[in-house]
Amino acid sequence: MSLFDRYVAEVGRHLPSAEREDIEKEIRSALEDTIEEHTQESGKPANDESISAVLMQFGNPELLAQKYSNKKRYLIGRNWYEIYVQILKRVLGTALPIVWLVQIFVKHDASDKLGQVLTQSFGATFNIGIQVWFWITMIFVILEHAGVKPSELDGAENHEWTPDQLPALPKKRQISFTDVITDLITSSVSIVGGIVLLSVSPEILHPALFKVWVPIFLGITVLSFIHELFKLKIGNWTPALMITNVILNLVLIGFAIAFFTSQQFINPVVLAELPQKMQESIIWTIGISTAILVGIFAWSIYNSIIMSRRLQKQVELKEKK
Amino acid sequence: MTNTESLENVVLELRRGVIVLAALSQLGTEQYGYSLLKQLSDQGLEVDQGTLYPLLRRLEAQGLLESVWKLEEARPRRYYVISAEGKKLLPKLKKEWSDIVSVMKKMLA
Repeated sequence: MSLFDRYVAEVGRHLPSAEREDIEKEIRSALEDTIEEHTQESGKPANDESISAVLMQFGNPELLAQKYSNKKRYLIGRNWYEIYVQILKRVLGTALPIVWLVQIFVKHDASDKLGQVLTQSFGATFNIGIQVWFWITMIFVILEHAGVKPSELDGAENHEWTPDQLPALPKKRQISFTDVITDLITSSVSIVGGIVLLSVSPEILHPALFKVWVPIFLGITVLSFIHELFKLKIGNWTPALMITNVILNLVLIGFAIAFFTSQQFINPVVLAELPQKMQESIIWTIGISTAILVGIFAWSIYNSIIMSRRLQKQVELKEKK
Repeated sequence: MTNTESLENVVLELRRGVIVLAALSQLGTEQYGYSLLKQLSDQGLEVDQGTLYPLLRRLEAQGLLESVWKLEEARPRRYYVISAEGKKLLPKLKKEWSDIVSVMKKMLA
């Protein structure tokens, strides 16, 4: 009977312990009934072969156990999954960049080297991210397995869905909130990055950076900040918004090229002491970054012109009607 | 998914609901798992043991069946019988079934 016992044990292994004994007893009794029937039909006593034929009828023990148990075999089910993912995105997406910036400031006190500051702060942010992710997941797993449903949390229980609950259609916008916010975050990060760079290692940088380039850059950035706020408010590429965007980006392109051609990045005293190869690689790195930035600015110009034309056409269409 | 697989899936879906009704209808007198299986198959409804037994247990958990262990021929057997609640529900289910049958008969004619 070893096959028989092994089968029952295997089913039991996959059952919740509270019900295990009872279900094992039931399966055992049903198996015995079936085997007995088979031996009566064939006239031979039960052997391994006939038992394994019966076990085949009962099927994979793990699947059988699954059919018996109502145990949830997942961490977060469909009731909570959507909300879980949304909250995770929002929390990680907004909190982590802030945490990173804070970490840069904190670590910068402890160490003078920019590379160290960046990697250490990134590592710390990564660890915090893992922690946040774990605890949010934990909360949802507990909610799921405590049997709470999202609809119960509003206070009103299982009220029926009506079409009135549909959210209003969002106003048509060419410029989405996320676009603007991404731009705002990018420019804040570049401002903070610039300040950190200046304060961490002022002696190796070119004096003209402090006197000329950074003040101009900050000035342009403030202007583009204001421009972003207008983009957020207006929401569409109106002619005025498009023209200011084109001017702003042309200024940025001019600034980037002028800065690169001036070659005023590194303090000439320090630069002279560096080996030739390193001097070249610094110029290369800054050159490539400049090229990428010019590309981004040029694309912004192109995009705003195209979008503005589209808007114009839509307006004309509406006027014809 | 192959054609035979999808056919099997649809057939399984169709039968799943039917087995509940069949089991409830046959449990006016108490039966243990294997005897119910035989009774169903004698009348032409073949059900997997691995499907029927968990189903009986679920119906009991829902309060539609009651069960009791009895010792027979030196072997314990769990006997299932329809509960008072199950008895109330059965006529409604039968009505629902005959409605479905008549609708589908017309639809498939």
